Amino acid sequence: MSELLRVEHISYRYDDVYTALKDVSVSFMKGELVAILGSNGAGKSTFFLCCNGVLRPHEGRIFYQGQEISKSRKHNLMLRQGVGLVFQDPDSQIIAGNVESEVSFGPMNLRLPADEVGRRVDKALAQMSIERYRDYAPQYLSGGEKKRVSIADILAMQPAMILLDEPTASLDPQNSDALEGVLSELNREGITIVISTHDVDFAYRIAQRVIVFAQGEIIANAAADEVFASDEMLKRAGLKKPLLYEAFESLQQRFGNLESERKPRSIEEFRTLLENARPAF
Amino acid sequence: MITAILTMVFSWCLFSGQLPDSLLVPLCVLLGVLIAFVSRYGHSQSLSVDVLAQMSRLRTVNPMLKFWILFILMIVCIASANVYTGLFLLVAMLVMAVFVGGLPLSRYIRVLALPVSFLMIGGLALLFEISPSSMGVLNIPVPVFGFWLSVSAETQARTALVVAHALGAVSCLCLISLSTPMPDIISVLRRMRCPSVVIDLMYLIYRYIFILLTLHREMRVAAQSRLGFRSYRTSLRATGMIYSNLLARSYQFASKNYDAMESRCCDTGIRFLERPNRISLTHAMVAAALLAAALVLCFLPL
Repeated sequence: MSELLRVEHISYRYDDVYTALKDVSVSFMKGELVAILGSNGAGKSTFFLCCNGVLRPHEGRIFYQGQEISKSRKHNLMLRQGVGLVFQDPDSQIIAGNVESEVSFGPMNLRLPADEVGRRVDKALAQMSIERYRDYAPQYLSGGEKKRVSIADILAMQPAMILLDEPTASLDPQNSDALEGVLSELNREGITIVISTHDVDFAYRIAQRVIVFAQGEIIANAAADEVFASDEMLKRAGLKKPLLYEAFESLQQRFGNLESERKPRSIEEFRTLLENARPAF
Repeated sequence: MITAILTMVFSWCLFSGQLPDSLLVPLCVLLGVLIAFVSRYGHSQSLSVDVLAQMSRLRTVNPMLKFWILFILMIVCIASANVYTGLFLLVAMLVMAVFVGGLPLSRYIRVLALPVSFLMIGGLALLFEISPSSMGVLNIPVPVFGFWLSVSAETQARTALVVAHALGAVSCLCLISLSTPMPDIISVLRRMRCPSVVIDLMYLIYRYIFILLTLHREMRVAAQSRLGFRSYRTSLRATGMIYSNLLARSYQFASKNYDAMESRCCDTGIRFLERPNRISLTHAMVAAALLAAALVLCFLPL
């Protein structure tokens, strides 16, 4: 896997007083699905804004596809196009009066010819299955629909990597499941997906790698099972263990060695495990 | 209700002396009752125009065509020297909006009622003039000063013309605003080389009207649920707090929104893909027919 985005020792302060990011270094590979965990105010959103080039870190360097991002406009555009950012609240992202114009906003800014913009808009709408809302005004869409529009916005720019800031925060379970499916699908198509969340169950189910933020620093960066094994670190980050992880741990303590190559991530995997298990009563 | 009474009074003044009383009185009452009946739901929300425009079947018609044809019709109507052009447009626009566009008749009339009631108040002022004798069709004596406020056949004709002009023009405006959502109108203005700053602002303002309205509604409900409006004093306080909060929130929203625009590579102005429907032959023919009819009525020696 080749490296897509790397940040080295970046720091960011708001108004030169409040430190939001402290010496953060991390890299993302092509085709990865990564979850970023952390309590409110841990620096996840600021980190995303830096990765996308909207905020310029006060210290540190950012590399996109091996190329260091300088202050030049060209580099900035490259970063913003390559790394798409879906905001937490769709309303702060949506600016157009109808869905089709809204999705066309990004590609239009890339100065693409109109027919190419049209093709991209159609494709993005189809990917998020919101073609029938094409002519709708955003004020008459539901929360879940607006979320889809805000993701289609970014898809139409065809980024190599998409950052999603708390995508499940205001979605009902059904929409949340649908979103999970869409994200996995996009990931299979080769797009790197990075999701910030404080829903540990969601992160455990979907992510290959988990990064934990606390007070503007990265305090863990490893495979999901490894990260959730550390009680002390989770406590420091103000997080809990995923329910399935704990359930599996309890089962194993009670009944000894359950045969499984990996810990179950979803309820389906958990059921299969229980069916196949031969605990020594 | 006020509109209904106003309609009764106005139509009585306008037609008295021209129609026999036996016909005039029922006509006035009928008009009033009709308007009272249609607008009995009262609460027409200020944004219902937007909802209706999104709903209209005429929405898919090329906005450029709608804009220009209605603009020209409006000019023809105002330039016309008889009342028939205006009345024709009033009826034609109603038919277009209700029967072609598929809007409920009552909603259309309610939207039209507001400008029309202003029009009638103005019309009343035009109808009456001060005269030294009671020579008019309708005379109201002013006791102290010894003259009459009277309506004469001449003022009736003058008022009818002005009102017909205005009715026709307002109908055209109503049809465009009830069949074309704001973004389409903005895109027409953009293509007419309106400065891009103005266009950007229009897009943002349109979007923000809804965001701020929703925010305001939420805050109001939250204040209500905590008894914020139980007395006059607390209402004043709550309203003040809601508006100051709204200002703070709109700043936050604007800065987030700016970040989001930047993150999507926006650096010069706001531009969207425009894919208006082609002008179909039927639409062009309907437009031409309307224009032809209006022109014929305009130049007809009636």
